[in-house]
Amino acid sequence: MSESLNLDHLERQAWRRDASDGLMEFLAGILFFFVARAMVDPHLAWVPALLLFPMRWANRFFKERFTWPRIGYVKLKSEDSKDFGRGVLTYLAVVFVIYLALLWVFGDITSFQSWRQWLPTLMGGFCSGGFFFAAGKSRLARHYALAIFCIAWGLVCSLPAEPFSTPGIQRWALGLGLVNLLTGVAVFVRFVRRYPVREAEAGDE
Amino acid sequence: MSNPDRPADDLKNLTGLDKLIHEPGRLAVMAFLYVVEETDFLFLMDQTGLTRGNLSAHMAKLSGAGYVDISKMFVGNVPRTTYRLTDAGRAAFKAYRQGLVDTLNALGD
Repeated sequence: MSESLNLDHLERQAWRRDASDGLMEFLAGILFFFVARAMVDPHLAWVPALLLFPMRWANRFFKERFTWPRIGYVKLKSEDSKDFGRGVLTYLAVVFVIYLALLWVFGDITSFQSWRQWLPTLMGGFCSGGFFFAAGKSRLARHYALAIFCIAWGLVCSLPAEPFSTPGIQRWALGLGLVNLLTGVAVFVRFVRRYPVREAEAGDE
Repeated sequence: MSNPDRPADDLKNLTGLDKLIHEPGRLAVMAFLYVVEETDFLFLMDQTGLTRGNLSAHMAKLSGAGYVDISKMFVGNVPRTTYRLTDAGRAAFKAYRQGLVDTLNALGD
């Protein structure tokens, strides 16, 4: 069968098209800014978790106003929840084992200070899973780049940095938030320029 | 021993393919709907490369056969029609795909 009838290819095309508005990066950027803010004040630690719910609403709000009138609406297939859950847990476990190994080799596994210092690496590893998942579905270069940046920036923020007064985990969240937000805005601007509103057609048929 | 008066099994498989799906435009629509949960007219038109008129006609046929479920709604003031494969449509596409692969394999080089 020809490439155009390859079902994986078709699914990838749908993912790429749906991700062409940069909304995922934009909203992830905002979320990471809130994470950074919450790191300053332990009383605000619950805020990012609570934000996950309005994020779904915000995603739909923006899609309805900007994305669907331009390229149409698509609901992508959801993953089998059992397999997906198992995959996520396996990924998190692998990242945690690597984190322990790094801590054992480069730090002091018995010291709370070491655990805190290397926390950005752990968070970078955890969060990269989301970007790797998106990259696996869309095969978009920017998703791979964000996944790698997530880990690399985590490592950088784990290294001792005397000139900075802010904790590494906060620098990690701020940097990641900024990169995601800028990526999202750049992709969105390109998207709006490339695809004009076609509401009359969208309403059919 | 095969009977020379009976049609060859390999060719019988070919003529047994679902003709409703076999049309290239409808095959494209069915294949795309198979990999997503649901979509609307605009997205489907862009992904399949079909014209508005063609797509409308194909969707009417697929819906009439019970392969596609059509829902109409309003998003703000804009009417939106969404399409999704029914269970029958999903099964028909799976059978068509398998039938085509089997037939092509049986025909050989």
